[in-house]
Amino acid sequence: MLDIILFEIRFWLRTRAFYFNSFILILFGFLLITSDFIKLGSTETPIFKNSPYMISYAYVITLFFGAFISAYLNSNSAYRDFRDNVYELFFTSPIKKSSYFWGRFIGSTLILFVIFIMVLLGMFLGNLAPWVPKEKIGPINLWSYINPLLQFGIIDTFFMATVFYSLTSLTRSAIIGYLGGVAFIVFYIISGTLSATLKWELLAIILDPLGIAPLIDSTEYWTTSQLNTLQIPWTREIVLNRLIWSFVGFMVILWAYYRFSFKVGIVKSKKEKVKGEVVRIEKPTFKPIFSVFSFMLHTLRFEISIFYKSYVVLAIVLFSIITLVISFTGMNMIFDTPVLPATYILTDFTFGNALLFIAILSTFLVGEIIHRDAENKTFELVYSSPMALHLFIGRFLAVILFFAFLMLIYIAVGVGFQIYKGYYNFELGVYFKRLFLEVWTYAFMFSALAFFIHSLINYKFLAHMVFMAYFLAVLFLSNLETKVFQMGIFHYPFVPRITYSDFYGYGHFLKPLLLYKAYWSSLTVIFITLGLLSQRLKIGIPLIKAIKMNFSRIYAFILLSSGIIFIGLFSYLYYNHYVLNEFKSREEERLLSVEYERKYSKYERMHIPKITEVFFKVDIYPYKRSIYTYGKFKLKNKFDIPIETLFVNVPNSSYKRLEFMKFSIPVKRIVHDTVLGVDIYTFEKPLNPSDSFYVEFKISCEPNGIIDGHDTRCRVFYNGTFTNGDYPTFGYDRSMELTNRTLRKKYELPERERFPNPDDEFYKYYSFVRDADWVNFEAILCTSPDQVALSPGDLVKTWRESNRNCFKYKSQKPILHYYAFVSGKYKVDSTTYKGIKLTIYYIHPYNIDKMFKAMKTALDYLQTLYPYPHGNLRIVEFPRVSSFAQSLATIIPFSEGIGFLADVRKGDIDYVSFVTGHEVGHQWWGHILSPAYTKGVHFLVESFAEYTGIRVMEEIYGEGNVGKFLKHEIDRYLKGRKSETYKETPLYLSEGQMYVHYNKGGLINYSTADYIGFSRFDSVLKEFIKNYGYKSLPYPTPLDFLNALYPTIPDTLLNQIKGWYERIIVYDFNVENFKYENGVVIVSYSFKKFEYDEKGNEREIKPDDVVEVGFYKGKDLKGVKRVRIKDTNGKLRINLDFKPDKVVFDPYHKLINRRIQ
Amino acid sequence: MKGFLKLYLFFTLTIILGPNGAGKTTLMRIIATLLDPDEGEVYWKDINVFKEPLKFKRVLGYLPQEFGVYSNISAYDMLSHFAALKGYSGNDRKKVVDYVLHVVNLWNDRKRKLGEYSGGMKKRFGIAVALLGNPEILIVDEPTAGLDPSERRRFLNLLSDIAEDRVVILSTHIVGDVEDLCDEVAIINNGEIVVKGNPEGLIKSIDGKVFQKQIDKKEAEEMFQKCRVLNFFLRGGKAYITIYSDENLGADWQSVKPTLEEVYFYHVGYHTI
Repeated sequence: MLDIILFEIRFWLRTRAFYFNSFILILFGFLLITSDFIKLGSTETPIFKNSPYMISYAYVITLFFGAFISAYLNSNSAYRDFRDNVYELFFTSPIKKSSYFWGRFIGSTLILFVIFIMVLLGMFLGNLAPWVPKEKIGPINLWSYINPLLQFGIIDTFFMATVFYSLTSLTRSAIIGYLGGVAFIVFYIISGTLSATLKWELLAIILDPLGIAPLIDSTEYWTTSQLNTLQIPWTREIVLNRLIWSFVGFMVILWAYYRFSFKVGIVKSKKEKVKGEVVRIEKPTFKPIFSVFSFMLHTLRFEISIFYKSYVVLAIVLFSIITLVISFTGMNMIFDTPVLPATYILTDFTFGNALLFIAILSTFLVGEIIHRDAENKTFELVYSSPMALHLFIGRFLAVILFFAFLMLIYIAVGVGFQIYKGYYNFELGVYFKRLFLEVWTYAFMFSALAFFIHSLINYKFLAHMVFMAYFLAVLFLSNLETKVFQMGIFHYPFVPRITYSDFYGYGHFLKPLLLYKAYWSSLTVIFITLGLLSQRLKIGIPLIKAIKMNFSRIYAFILLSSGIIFIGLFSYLYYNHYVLNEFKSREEERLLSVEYERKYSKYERMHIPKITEVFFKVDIYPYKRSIYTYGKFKLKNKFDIPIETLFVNVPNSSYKRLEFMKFSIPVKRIVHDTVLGVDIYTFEKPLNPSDSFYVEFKISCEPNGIIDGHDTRCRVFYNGTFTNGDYPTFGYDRSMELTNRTLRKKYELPERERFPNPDDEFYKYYSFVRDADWVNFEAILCTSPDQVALSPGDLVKTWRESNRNCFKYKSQKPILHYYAFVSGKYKVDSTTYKGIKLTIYYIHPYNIDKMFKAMKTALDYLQTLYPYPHGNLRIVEFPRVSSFAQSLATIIPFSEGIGFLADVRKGDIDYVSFVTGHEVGHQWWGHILSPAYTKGVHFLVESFAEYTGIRVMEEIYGEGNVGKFLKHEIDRYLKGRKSETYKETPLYLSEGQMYVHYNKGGLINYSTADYIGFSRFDSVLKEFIKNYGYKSLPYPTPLDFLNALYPTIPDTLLNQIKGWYERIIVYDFNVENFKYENGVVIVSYSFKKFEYDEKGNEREIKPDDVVEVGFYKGKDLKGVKRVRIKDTNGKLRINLDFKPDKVVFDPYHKLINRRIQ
Repeated sequence: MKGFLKLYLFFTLTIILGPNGAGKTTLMRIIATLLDPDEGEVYWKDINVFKEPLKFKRVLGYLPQEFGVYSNISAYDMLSHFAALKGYSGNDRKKVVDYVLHVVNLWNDRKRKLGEYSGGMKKRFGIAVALLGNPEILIVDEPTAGLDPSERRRFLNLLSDIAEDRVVILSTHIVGDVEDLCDEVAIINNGEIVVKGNPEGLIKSIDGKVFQKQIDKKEAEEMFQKCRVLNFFLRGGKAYITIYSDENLGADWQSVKPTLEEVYFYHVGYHTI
């Protein structure tokens, strides 16, 4: 057997494939470390490119794509004797079956293993490249390169090899091996979809044969520092996964060995001759008529029947359907709660899912139709017939017809899924429109490209490679920093992002969509024509000669006319994208920020007068997507020093411009920077304390032409306009600055905190609406006659003016200088609750009742803290061009993408009520209490809105449901730390980190309230709002809140809760086992407590914490007791009057326990 | 292939006879428009075959020496596909397909998958393809290889029949085929036509100069060097040699009536023992 192993190894060492694959992998590994083009994960985070985690991750991803290498290599070892027809020689020679089978297997598997090592070698060599930025590379640790081999390499290589070797040696067909490769992708997609949920995470871990899911899962709660320094441990998930798949591998190969036989399969002989039918047939004398049309019909039928008989095609289609259904199940899940399967959402997911399969099928089918006659040796028969060239047209048409069938299958799958979900609004028109216009056209264009490549190259395997390389390149091209690669006009066959919405259908996106489809179609026609001309209908004929031979005037005409159309559309789009409009690369965008900071940061700490009165006249033209804003602001010097200059940020884009700006007092413009949009004025007489003046302005926003990108300019849509308003802002805008440390270093900007400290003497006079105090607000909005327009405030008047609908809004109380202007066609429901008029403007009716209930529940709770200052509160649905909800005074724009379509069933987390509660909470936390623009500003706004949302859920669904929700909050917090780009802050100093102020913040506020008692916590909030509500100059800071909170906390809890707010604490605890004896439960536990520094370095500290212990009877939580834990390991004795079936710590997930699954 | 070839063919059956590697297939492929010669032209009536291959393909029937099929398709469907490729549609297509299936005696097996066909059946299938479209010129490359004697006979009869009103070019390395069919023979060796003419004439050209003798196997070597050997075979443990000689060689040499096989070896040489 050793001989055969060595023979096999020598065989591969002599092949080009071995060196080619090794070279590619070395290069891949090297580029991973040394370039920004190929990257895994984000370059924004401070994770080293050569950290143990990144090396392991890159290695398993390589193994995943390497499935195709295995498919080639192991299949070849099992198959080549059959392919070369020498198997009869081998099988009759005196080699034992076992030596042949195992020798070939072991030999090829060892080679495979060596090839995969190359990527590690490449990454190692990458360390030595001098041009890699030092901060991206950590210390070199050899073990980081060996550990992945042990954890993943050996078993993965073995498993892949068993699958491909077994499949091929049993079926004796190479193509089955490639199918296996596609199956790996399918497994990965399924596992990826499942692991996005909490429910199915374990299943995802088990289902992933290569161990990517358990690797990610094992490290999902690591901080950046841990990712950088720790080796991947043998966690339970990894061990379980590895055991399962090596077992499966052994079973597969043993089964294959058992079934393997030297005997050549018995040829099936069906000898049912239909006898005796001797018919004398007249010799036909008619001549063929050469009808192209009927020939095409025949070819379509014939080819489709061949595709339909192909197991590969059937398998790929089947895989595609399976992944489609899986992705439908997991689509748009928020907190594991699904959405209603509305047709336009299903079609989104169909597109996302189908793209890869369409690409694979395109190159596969086209490869078949181009090379079939060479492979089957029928080319002489075929190419000598008069319709040979037409045949290729017919075959290509068959391919795209096949894709049309595939679209119908997708529609059937979608409709089936809707029926299964009990959703009967099928909207077949939307299916057809979207699948054929958006998805099928991609199939058409990819097939044309494949047709061109396969015809040109004429080597099937190489052509597949070139095609897939193009496909991947065009997907990742825009990762490159160079501007030209980010330009969509070169991304054949993709169109700029469009958003289909129930508000407007395709709306204004239809024009760019159609133009782009026409643009790429003209290129597609050129591809097809060139591909057709490149058919080599003679043996050994060079390409140029073949083209000459096939050429005729009709092709010249087609090429010329589509060439003219292509150039015409290219010029038109180019002019629109890059001349009429600005297209900035990411680099150019960043440079604007850099320039802004460099030039103007000297103005940062100059006090500015505050806006105190606001009048707007907003003209919305939905069908022109234009909006014109006239405004008049009153500004007042609220400081005790005179102000001499006024720094103004004005719009400076190609579609939005400042028409005029007038001051009621004499000023002089000293800076007029049109590039960065900055005007600086000096007052002729300094503005003395308490002096005020008026500013008038007009801003026009008119989108012109078509842009390269997601076109949401002006935020005006045919239906469902929602904009925060166009107006100049005053003062240097710190939020413009680059925050990423690496980038700041790159542009030589000084080290700088992301936010000012809470005790900052300047910023305590500025809220996040920098240039305004609480303002008196009045606005007139006019829109098209079929729409209503909304803004903050109470509606005081409506009228028609030159065939337009006009509305006047006025706020009775001062509000924050922060607005929403909305226009659309709505269904309206409204009710009055305790003197407040509640209204929902919507187009999707499904969750309106939930929203009303949540609004009422939230109001009931919040009014105990402080009375609602306005007479109305409105929720307004807006198109899913963005997916968020936002709270402005009295008005809450709420995206159709998050909640209006939620499908909340019994036991699910009702995030509709949660988000509603959160946003209503902002009417207090943000709009009554507005904090200073310092660290912790988000804590005071978001963490309390989040807390409100949780309280609303608790009120409606009870503590159990909240526990389920908190589990998600913990999960999101712990995962969020991984993507921290600078440093994690303690909660009270949160500086724009969502995972801190949303997920951790809501949880900590809730747990604190729960620990000290809700009434006590709420009375702190009541007091806090009483003292700081509507406060300005100075604005409240998080320190003010903590100072109000701490005195109310009992000493026994003070340290623990202080830690939650002021430090970064993560627990790791579980109950190991328990005994029940004579009314006492004895619980053995492990309880670890960790503190992290801002970089994510972990330090274990001694616990002194109160935690709840939950006792289950069956599935029901029967009792909860609070205990104090002082030791990392120990035993607790708790009196209990029943024998529990299960004992757990913290059943409602109030503590951040990283052992949460 | 080298040399200048000038063939005029008028409603006859032409056989190209030559050893393996002589260039028969190359010539056939050139005529069938599948291969470009370095120079030279082929005309069919007034069609320049290289300039207007499409016009020529419309009247051409071609059976390559080796060919494959789509193995999971039935003979009928595949043949129907080829009929479409030759320009037939609708009912016409069905009729021509039915006809050729009868002609090549595959009618009863028409629904079987081609993958299940034996070598001979596949060959007949190929002939059926070549016959589709009622071609004015039929090029068949080694059609009889792999056929059993009755199939061969049937096929040759068919070809004779067909050749009555069209041109048939057939290449073969089996001399017997030629004798059975020939109107006109061209023998190619090393890419050059060595001789052409009708078979009777060719046989007549060496008639009376062919002698046969039973010899000892050991003598064979010597004979091969001394004489122009036309044939050598073993029968019943005895060796027989046939040679060409301008003079009468005496009593132990028996004069024999030459066949086309001897003509063939006379021109291409007999090389092995």
